[in-house]
Amino acid sequence: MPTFEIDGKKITVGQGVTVLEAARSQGIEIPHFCYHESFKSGGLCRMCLVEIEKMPKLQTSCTTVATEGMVVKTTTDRVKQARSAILEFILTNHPLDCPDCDQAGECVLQEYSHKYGPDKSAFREPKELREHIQLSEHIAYDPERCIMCERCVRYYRDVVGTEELAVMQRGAHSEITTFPGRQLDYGYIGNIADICPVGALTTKDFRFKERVYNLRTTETICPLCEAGCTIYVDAKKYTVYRVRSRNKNLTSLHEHPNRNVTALYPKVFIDAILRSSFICDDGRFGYKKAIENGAIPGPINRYEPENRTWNNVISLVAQKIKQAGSKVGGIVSPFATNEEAYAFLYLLKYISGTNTIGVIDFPGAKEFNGATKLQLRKGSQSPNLKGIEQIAGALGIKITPVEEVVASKPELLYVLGPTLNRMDAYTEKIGGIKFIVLQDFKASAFANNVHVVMPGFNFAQKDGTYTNKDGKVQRIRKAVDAKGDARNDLDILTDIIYNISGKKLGSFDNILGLMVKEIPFFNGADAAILTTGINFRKAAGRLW
Amino acid sequence: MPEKSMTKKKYNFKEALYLIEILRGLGVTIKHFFVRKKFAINYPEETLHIVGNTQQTMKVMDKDAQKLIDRMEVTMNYRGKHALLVDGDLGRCVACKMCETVCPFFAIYIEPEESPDPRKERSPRIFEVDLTRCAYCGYCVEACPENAITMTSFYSLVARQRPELSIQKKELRTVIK
Repeated sequence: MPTFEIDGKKITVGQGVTVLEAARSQGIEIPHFCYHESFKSGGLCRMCLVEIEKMPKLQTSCTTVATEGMVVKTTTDRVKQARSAILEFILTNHPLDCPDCDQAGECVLQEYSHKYGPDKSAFREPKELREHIQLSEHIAYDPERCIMCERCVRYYRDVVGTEELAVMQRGAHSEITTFPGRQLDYGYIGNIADICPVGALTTKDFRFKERVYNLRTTETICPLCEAGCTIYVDAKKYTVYRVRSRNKNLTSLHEHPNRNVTALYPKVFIDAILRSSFICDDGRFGYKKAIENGAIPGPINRYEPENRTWNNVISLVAQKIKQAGSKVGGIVSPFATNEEAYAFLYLLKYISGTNTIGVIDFPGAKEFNGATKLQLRKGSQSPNLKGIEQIAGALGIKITPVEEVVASKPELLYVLGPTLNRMDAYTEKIGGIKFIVLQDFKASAFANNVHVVMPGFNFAQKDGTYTNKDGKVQRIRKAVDAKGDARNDLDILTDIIYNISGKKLGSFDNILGLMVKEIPFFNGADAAILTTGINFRKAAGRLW
Repeated sequence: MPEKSMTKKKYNFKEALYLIEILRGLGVTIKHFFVRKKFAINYPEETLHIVGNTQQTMKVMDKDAQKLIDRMEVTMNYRGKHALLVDGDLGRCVACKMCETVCPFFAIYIEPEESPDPRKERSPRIFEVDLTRCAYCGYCVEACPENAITMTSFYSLVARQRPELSIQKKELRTVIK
């Protein structure tokens, strides 16, 4: 455990920790482009140069391991001059066309150039301008903007392990390309746009869509499989523009809210680091599947077509549930949050007296091409299956396939969405059921054949918690406003419960509080501290 | 510290009399009884002469500013309807959204697209200026990094319906004659 001095501060760090990592842990910013916490340092960009006593030259802090008695200085004139010179060199061929570039606003080069860069360049030669190349179907590459930090190359070498990318040519002509005959497969390709410190790599999905400084970032959870990766959702008004991976443990250079409060990460957490740094392409490009697409503008009542207001619909449903008694069939989507599932199961168990529930079956995630070291996806495309199982188990409700619920011909069938077209297969089998209620945000063939449709929210529009396959309860947050006359699914459910029994379940955090009290699985959960998700079962109270 | 002092100007006899100055002032007044210059314009029967776009206006002004005023043209720095400048067939705008960002009234709406021209990376698919929202502050002109948006001297902004005042890319690119 070496103890060394950095900017006059004596610190003790673990064996093998580099100077840059140690500095970050102390909140000392050392500018860098090529260093990334997820793979080996390359010492390529030379931006992280620091002065170390008794060493004749400046050292790259990302490759220098901290040793006993070192004295590191990061703010001397020599270091500042070196940074300025490095930036001048990097900018020799960089077009500085920030208004054109999608990265402007979150660009590391823009920030450093502003902070440490020279105000003019000694190079008078015209800049070499090049056209962009389509690296794959999803990624566009602008060689003129590239600063050759090789993060993408090292990502494919160290993290994915398939090594498709390489630097070709030399000097000013160098560019990133795939090896001849190789191509970047769909799978984990979107991450290279995230880790690119400049605007050289952009996803086709987001290219030229919106300026990043116009987007509001929300910390939430990816709903597309049971792994429950942490993501950022960048949105403006009603539209989600992109999904990015969210670093849980580590500081992400300029956007992390508490960028100076980070612990040194031992190498044993490397799996956790990878999981937190990257997401799969299904999550990155497939989020549209779980978001608005043919949204339902307002409640639909085919039973009494003249009564279409929310109050009428809710009292009608409440009345029908009361009449049906225990002959209510319930089907819940695994996209429902823990709180919605709890309210729904509460309605079935304590108000109707039903003891079974159908859970909509979603297919397992398809395998990506190629053997990658990075395997992030788990189970099926149902983000909250574990949570529903736990709640149903605690309330003594048996989970059955959807077929059985439909085949048992209940008096009333209540489907809690989002169904995402998975109920369309049952459109013809629901013939004999007298009254069918659906809560969904998206129009579907099934929705056209039910009696009452109550438009709800999608995952980006509501607050709640999801439980992933490992039993970690994580918070999802509202990122966009809902269009039209849709209502929060949880409010609809609690309104129906209130209408029947007069019991007020309250809002999402009240219900989470109820669940904490009643269900041992959720012991220790607290809506206020659920900022990034907590693994309650292993280490209660520990932030991830 | 040296003291500051002021010496009062001493008037000579002619100046101290004030009479000549009074007569000169009266002369200006009396002149206006005989020489009449028109200042009010009976809009819309009479209109001001509108000059192409701002750049053209400036050229004319440089030549002979006095003549222009005599012809009752809109002044050089008048901020009227917007225009997007064009180099040949290609618009200058790169849809960087600087003007949209700086606009205090949210009057500009831009949707970028991949430019069909290889010389430019991006161009606006939709460029919309809502003149009912615009306060003609000229911030968009200041913000533009490509000198693409300007404000012309076109002042007669009348429409039968509100949507007509939301002007699109095509209309913005046509220079008013």
